[in-house]
Amino acid sequence: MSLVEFHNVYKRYKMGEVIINAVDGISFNVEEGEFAVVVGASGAGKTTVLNLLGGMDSVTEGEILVRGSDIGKYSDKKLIEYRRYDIGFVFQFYNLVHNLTAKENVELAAQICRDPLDSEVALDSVGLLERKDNFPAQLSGGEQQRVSIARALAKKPALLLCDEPTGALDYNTGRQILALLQETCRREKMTVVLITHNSAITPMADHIIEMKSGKIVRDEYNDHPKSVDEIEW
Amino acid sequence: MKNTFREIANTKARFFSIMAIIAIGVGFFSGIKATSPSMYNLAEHYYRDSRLMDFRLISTVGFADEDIEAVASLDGVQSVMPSYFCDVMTSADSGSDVVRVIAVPEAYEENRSLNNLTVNQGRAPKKSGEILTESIAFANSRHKIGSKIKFAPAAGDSELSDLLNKSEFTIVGKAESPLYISYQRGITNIGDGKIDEYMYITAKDFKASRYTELYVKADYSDKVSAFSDEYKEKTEAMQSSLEKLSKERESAFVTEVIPKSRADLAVARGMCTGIKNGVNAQLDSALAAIEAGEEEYESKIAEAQALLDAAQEQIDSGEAALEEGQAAYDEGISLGQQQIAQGEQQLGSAREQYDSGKAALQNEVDSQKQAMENGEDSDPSAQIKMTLTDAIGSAKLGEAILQIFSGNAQLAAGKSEFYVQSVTGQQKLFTGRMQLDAAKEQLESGKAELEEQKKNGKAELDDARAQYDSGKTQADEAFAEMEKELKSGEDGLKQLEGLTSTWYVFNRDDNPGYATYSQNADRLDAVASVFPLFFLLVAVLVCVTTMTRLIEEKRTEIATLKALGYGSGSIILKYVLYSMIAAVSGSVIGVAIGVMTLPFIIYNAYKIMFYIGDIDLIIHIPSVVIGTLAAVVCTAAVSVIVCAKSLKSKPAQAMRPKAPKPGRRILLEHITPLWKHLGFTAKLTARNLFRYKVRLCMTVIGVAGCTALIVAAFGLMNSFEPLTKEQFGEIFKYDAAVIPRKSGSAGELKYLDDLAKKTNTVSASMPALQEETTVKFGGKSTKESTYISVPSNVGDFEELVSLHTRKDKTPLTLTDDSVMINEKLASDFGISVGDTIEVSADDANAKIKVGGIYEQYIFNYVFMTPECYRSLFGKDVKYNFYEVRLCDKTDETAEKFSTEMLTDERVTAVSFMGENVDDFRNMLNSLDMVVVVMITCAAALAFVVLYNLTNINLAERQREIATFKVLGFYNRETSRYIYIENIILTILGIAAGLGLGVLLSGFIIRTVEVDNVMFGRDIYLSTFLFASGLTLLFSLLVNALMSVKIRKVSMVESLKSVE
Repeated sequence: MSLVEFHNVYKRYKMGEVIINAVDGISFNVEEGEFAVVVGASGAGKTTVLNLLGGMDSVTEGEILVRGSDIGKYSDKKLIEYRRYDIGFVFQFYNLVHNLTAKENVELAAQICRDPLDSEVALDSVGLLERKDNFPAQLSGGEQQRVSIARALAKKPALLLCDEPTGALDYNTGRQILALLQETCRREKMTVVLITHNSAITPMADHIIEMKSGKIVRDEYNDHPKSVDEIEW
Repeated sequence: MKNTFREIANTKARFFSIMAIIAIGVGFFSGIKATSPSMYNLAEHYYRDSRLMDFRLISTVGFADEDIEAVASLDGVQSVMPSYFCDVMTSADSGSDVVRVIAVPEAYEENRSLNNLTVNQGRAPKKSGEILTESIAFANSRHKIGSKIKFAPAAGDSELSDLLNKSEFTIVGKAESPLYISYQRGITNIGDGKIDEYMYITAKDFKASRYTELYVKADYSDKVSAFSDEYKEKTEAMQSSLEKLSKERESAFVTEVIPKSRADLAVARGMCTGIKNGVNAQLDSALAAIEAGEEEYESKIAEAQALLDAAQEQIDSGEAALEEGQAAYDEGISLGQQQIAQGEQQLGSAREQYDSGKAALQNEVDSQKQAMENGEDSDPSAQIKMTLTDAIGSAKLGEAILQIFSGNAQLAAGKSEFYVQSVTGQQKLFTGRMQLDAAKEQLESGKAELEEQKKNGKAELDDARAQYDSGKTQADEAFAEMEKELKSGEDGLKQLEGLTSTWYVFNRDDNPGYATYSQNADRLDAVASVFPLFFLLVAVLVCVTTMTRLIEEKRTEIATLKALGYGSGSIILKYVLYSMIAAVSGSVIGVAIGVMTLPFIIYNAYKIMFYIGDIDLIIHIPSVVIGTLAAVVCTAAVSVIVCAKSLKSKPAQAMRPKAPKPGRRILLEHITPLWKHLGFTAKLTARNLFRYKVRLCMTVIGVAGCTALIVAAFGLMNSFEPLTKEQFGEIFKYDAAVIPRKSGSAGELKYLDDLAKKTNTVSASMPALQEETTVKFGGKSTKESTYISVPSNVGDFEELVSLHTRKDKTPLTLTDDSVMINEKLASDFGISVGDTIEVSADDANAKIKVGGIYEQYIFNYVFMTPECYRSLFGKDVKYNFYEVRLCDKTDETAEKFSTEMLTDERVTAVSFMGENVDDFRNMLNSLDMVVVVMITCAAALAFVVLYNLTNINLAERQREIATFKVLGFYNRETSRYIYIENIILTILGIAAGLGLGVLLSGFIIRTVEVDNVMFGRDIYLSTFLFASGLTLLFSLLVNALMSVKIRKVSMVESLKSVE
């Protein structure tokens, strides 16, 4: 059994008279511990997939099984708990709380978990322990994203969802972040689903899902994922 | 434009909050402001239509036509209406109410009537015995048209019959009088001293010979607004000229009126005497005529009687003559018969003699013959002799026969004559009798006639006599009446001579309803002057904040527009339009609702007290303009300023998200132990709070403003409380004041003690002095309602009045070398303990040290000991007032006390403090309505402000909230994150608001306070509790509303880039 199974999932938005199929009947699996990348151009429906998987949006048709249970059938409360205990989220724009220090931002997430990682350990794992008392505004973009990752890691999620984590970062910082994510995935045996429009980073993934106009056009496994250092774009 | 509307549609909640805040602010402001002018307008029209007098004149001696003429000829007097009134009591079965009976207004000469009644039911009284009752208040239901009202035979010291011509009246209608627009009916000196109702009867039914009151209407009152300063000025001027005239007329009373009445009386007396004499003369002559008639009657009767008597006599004599005649006749007859019988007898005897002679002769002859024969005849001679004898005898016989014959003849002749005579006699007798009978008959009829005439004459005479008698009695009665009238005239004159004429000039301010009405409207205006302004201020401030934040949020859009080449003007216009649409529509809605409702809601409360119809809406244009302008200009201006500021930055820079303000450590964090124990939400909240200080301040000020308004409203409501509760419960502990007819020393007023003791209702009492005074200090001097109060006995005084400080209730004791003054006077004049003030009594002035400042709410009293008074003014205190504390507060006790005291003629009036309490309470109850409106509006404002602020907060935090949600926070946890901040802000706002509220309510109360009355200055704990509770409640309510919104925040927000 895969950790995540998409079975013929549709997501339709009604924009006035027009119905848009943001996700048009896709099916794929994500296995435990794999580093999956959903890649596609803007508007391909990848963010929608992430939203659906993150329990932030509900499917119109089809089912999404996480550890065998259909999150589409979850109640609001169940969904919150799902997000709370199973999902870690890394945002494109970090979404840190400005008024909390790095450590506090991590603690914010940690405090709601059953068995959280110590926030200092989490920060240490992203290499920011010495900046723990800094406020987000005192940190660079990459550092903020690392805090964001630490925040996600502290929850010890079953699934780490990353929405264009490098989108707002420069090339080198982006690489560092990706390296961190890959390393985390390997070290913690954490399942990572990363969304990007940048197909250049797909070689580092275990599992590549390419989307186009709401459909999956490529769903393949990479038997020899490269490390970040090996790829360039 | 389109953009503007799209913006409105996008920020509906915010737009409508701004609109609502402005609507509430402007609506409240203009609504409250419109109330007082509407009330004034109503009263003004009512008074003008009913031609309310401007002055009411009363004189101790009443008024005569000359007085009226004098008043009417005064410059500026439009009309004068003399009238009558008196205070009487209804009979026990009608309720023993004290009634002021007034004459129905009537035009006097060319003056039109004043104080015209509004007859609501039935009609006005037209003839004697008809009465009009009041159609308002409790009295209305008690009287029915067609039923009767009976007045008690005594009204105080006067007899009803001295006041009114009738004691029973039929109700013909019900009316309202402009003299009584409030529940107040004024005071009197009969009954319990309080007039219960008024009634109107025709002037004819009053007994008074002189008018008891004059109503005067001035020229200006038709042109000048009744409550305006101009009216007051003109009234003052007019009053002084009326008072001047009063003085003239008062002395005229002595120099003209009394002498004139005296002269009039003398003339009347002369006339009376003349009339009396004339009538008496007439009566006398009538009597003389009657007597003459009687005499004549008598003499006539006598004459007639005499005639009758003579006739009787004649008849009698005729009768007698007839009798005589009869007798003579009878005698004659019998005589004749006798004579006849005699004659016959003689004849018989002659015949006998003859026979005997013949026989004798025969015998002789025979004897002689015989003798001769017998020899005897022996004697020849004897023969001769016998022959001779015979011869002679024969001769003699012949002669005798002859004689007999002649005798016979004679007898026969006699007889026949006798017969003739007897017949004629008889005939004569018969005619005599006939005549006599006729005469008798005549006499009888004469007699009857006389009787008849006598009777008639008698009757006529009796008639005349009776007429005379009745005339006489009538005349006597009339004389007595005249005499009585003269006497009463004399008495009246004497009374007038005994009286001094004192005129009292009252103006409308002395009319209880008028004064309270204007006081109420004034007070309302005072409330309306501060509170709504502050209200408006808060509303505008909140709108300004909202607009500022709205525009700041839109800076990217503004920059984009600018980059696209839109002119600054058009960008600014968009937001100015936005704010103006909100402000103008808010103002329109606010003004419409505020002006249409508030004056009516508030006036409705006053309608319990006043009966002058319903108000017409008078929009107070300045307040509408000011309110709307303030709202529109401020929001528009702030839009321009904030927009302009945004536009100043370069588009490129502005387009990028405004760098979030760096998170910063706050002071609190340095207190590590405490900080460590705080949760993230708390830390977050604490940091948030301190990060946006301006926002914090704006929110706090907004909330504080609303809380302050609520505090002020409650504070105002509470400030009324001491006026009744403290003043008449804790300070003035006496229940009643007795006014003796004559003031005097404590010894002279000893009888009051006895009287009071006899009622068995008194627990403490003491004579006191209360007189008007003027207090001067630091160039200021008191105008009115300031009194010197001198207790006769300091020991009793403490039982009746408690002098203490307000704050810590320290009791103050009077000493002989200083006075106590009240707090209001002290604070108004800036007097503190130890200062020396100048106090006047009558015309004497004296300086004295202030020994203490005591808690006091109504009027100013300068308390001092009798010794102090004596040393200040150099005279002994003449107490004019008797303070009584009753053993309990029941109506029965008060009734008993008052009734029993008033039976003594040395007591003029008994007044109860309870009545004052009621008066004040009634007045303040109406203000309570205003306060309720204020509280409601303040609460509404608080709600909208909190909603608005929370809404803004939420809008600005959407992203954070979305992030929290994505992180898996429960809704409740997410909401708490917003709540805690809000609640802290609210609490801070409340705290600031309570402080501000204390200041604001202090300020409002001081503004609302009328002269001489101090409102409560203490703010009760309950006020704080209410104000903070209400605000907190709203805050929670708003938070509850917001949590729905929070639930709706889409998590997808979190994925969006920072705009």
